[in-house]
Amino acid sequence: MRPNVGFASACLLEQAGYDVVVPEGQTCCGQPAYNGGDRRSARRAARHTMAILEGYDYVVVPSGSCAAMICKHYPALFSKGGGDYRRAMELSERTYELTTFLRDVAHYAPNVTLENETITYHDSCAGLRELHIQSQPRDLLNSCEGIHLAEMNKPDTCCGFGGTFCIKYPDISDRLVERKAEDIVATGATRVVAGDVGCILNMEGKLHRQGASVSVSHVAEILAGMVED
Amino acid sequence: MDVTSRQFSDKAHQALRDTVLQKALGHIEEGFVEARKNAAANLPEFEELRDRGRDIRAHVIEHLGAYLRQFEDQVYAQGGRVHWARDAAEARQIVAEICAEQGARTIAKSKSMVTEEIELVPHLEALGLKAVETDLGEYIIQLREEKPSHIIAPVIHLSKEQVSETFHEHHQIHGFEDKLTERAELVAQARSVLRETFMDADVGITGANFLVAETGSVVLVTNEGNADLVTSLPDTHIVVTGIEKVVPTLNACHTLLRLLVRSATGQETTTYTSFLTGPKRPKDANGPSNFHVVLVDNGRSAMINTQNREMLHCIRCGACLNHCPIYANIGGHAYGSVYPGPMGAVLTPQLAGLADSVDLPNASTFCGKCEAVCPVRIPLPKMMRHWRESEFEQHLTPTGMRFGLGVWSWLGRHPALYRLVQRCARLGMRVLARNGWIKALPLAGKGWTAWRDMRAPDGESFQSQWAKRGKKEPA
Amino acid sequence: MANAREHILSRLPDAQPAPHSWQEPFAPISTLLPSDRRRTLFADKLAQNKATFSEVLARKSIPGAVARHVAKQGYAGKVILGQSLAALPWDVVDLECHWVSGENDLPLEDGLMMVSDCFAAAAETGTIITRSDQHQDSRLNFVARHHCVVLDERDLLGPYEDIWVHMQSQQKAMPRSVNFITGPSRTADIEQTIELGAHGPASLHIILVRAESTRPESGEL
Repeated sequence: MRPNVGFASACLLEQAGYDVVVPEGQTCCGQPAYNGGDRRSARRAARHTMAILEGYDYVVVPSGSCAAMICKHYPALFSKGGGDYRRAMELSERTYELTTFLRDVAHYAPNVTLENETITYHDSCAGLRELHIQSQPRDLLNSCEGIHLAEMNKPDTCCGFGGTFCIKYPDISDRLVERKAEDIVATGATRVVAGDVGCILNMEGKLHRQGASVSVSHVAEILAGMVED
Repeated sequence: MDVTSRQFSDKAHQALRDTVLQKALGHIEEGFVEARKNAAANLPEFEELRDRGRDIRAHVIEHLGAYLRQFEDQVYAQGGRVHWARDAAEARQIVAEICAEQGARTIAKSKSMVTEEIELVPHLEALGLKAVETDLGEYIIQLREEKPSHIIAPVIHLSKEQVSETFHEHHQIHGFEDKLTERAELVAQARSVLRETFMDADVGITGANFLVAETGSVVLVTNEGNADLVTSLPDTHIVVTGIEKVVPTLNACHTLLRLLVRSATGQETTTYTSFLTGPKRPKDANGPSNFHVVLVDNGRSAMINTQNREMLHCIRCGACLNHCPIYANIGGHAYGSVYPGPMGAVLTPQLAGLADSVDLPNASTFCGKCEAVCPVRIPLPKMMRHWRESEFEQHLTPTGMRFGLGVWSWLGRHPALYRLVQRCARLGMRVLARNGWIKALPLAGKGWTAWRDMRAPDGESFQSQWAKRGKKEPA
Repeated sequence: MANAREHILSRLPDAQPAPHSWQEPFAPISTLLPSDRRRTLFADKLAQNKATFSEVLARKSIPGAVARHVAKQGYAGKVILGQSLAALPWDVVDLECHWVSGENDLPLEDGLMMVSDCFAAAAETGTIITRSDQHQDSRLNFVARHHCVVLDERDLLGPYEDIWVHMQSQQKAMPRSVNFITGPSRTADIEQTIELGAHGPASLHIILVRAESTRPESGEL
């Protein structure tokens, strides 16, 4: 949905000194099927994805929820001891969410200067609770020149996207994103940053509908200096 | 268990528009949530206690039969009696028989979710008994003929004004004519009315927060002291409890008590924690002459060999409700079950049947906050996912959703077609867009655009652009 | 009913747990204090939980402490006294006193001040513990509007777990009731705001009888 996120991520990884390959044939990690109760389809998606991602030293994912799907849930899909399980465990050991990889493996230091802008950060749920992504994006953002980071009230409260949740229960989802938008606007920030495209589409769609002058970016776009407004 | 969970969507919709309810629910964040955070921060051992709590509960369930036998032996050794009920009907019948044996006319009750689950009070009232709830919240909903909306705070959904109206309507017969405005006055009036109940009651019925196997003790926690009045003024005490509430020892119980209260209200302890063991001893100054424990199964033993086994670990603190963003916005009544929120999403389908409660495990974004605050680390999102899997297998998932997920998954395994469909979707969306934004999407997208815009995708997908730039995969 | 019992038990795991499973106490370190620091923790916790507190040097001074408390509360009704406090000089209390002599002798109506002994206390949360026995009518703890509890400093312990050790040293069998009481009765059921005096006592006052070993040398508090 946002090709810029892919390009920004690739740019950051290349700057950090890595050869970046985007394997063809990637589709979906299988999370919608998994969370929808269709375990069989989820397993098939996992096998497909595992095959595509074989052979690379690292797999880096600019999404907390997709990374969590691969790292935490792929192994849970298969019987322990089987071939698929072993492949899933092996893949999970070399798969990282983007900001975790940049800070903790690549030890990357951003070299971008930000315009005088107040930014606030939204913690995407899966990344936070399943992969403990909280300090990584903030550390990277805080090491950028010109950053001004203002924490919103309850940054770790769900924005209401929840994958198919926003389709199944649109009015409840809307109430959650409405409250998130309130918290964002209350910080005085002109930009909210997050690590998951689902959250980004959700918050951005609501803020735009409200006519709020707040942009929404993926953390990769900020760190790579590739924000497109 | 009787539920009205089929009406979840409608009720949630109404709840979102109920301004009185919304204001009442606003207290949760500044109250329970903030208090729990502080209580946990002030106890350095809190995380370790959570591990111990989880291990104690898991250990108990692994040896549940043995611990229940030990508990039963101890109760009998102290002069009490133990009854076993396979289901709600049997439990109600046992309680009714004990009351009849005692020639009871008035019953004083303290709060018990199990008695709500088995609908005990309506049954006793239909038999001509007067059964009065003495926990303030439960008393209020009894007067209003409602169900509780929270497992710890039954009237969290009400405003002070609503309580005032209820008392004004029902307390005139007690000689109270004025409508009250202050909270303290309302509490004082309830105190006065219910003191009569405590003194008149022939039988006291309570639940149990824990059952201690090593001593045969029943543990009750309250802030009001009503459970202690209920169990020391009437001459008969009946405990109605789920079979899973047993703990091995008093020391294990204290670990769980330290977790329970901090997780529930953020207090370090409730005002009253009472350990009750059997009836009055020959030399005691006072005490009930009769002590009965009714152990209720009602679907619990059926959970043991399933993926929902860990739900038996629940100590009914309510922290998951307090922290759930869905519960915080729709309240408990929308769930249509006396067990709402995340724990209810797992327990209600088990006790009431999945077909009647299909929405509950689905009304979650899997944000994971519930699991993050559960004092005994129950993996609630995982268990909700198991229910979704059951729904899928039993074809309870709505057809549109099932079809959509099926198509998406199939496309996921056929990358060329996946990309083709994506390309069409992108084209379609660009047609709908004005100035880069879509205000109205068809089909499944309607729910999105009812309240949000969707940014139109610009250009081709990342993968096709990347491929065009000539980056090749390694040989 | 025997059928129901067998039916339920047949569906439950029946393996015997290892002996002494979960016997070991696990008390928070902050509660494991020497006795003088226990008193400070106890006083702090009492205040946090909205109970009040005074100290006397000997049991004979308890009626004086009650008299002072009565004056502070502005209470003018009857004072009900537990049996174990009978043999003390109560004439300093300028109100009608009534000693509970048996089960049918305890007034149950609301509004009264009642004074009783307790078994022990846990500094952990400023909690007093009472147990049922021939002298202690447990109802006294709950029917009073104002409750005064006498605590011997030698019975002021740290963590909850020590209460049972202390009890075991005096009796083998579990009493019918053991009540852990922390502050006055309260409820937050209406709009999540605390009000005191829901059903139990609206005020709780602890009178601590200092142990000889900790009494100040001056003889004054």
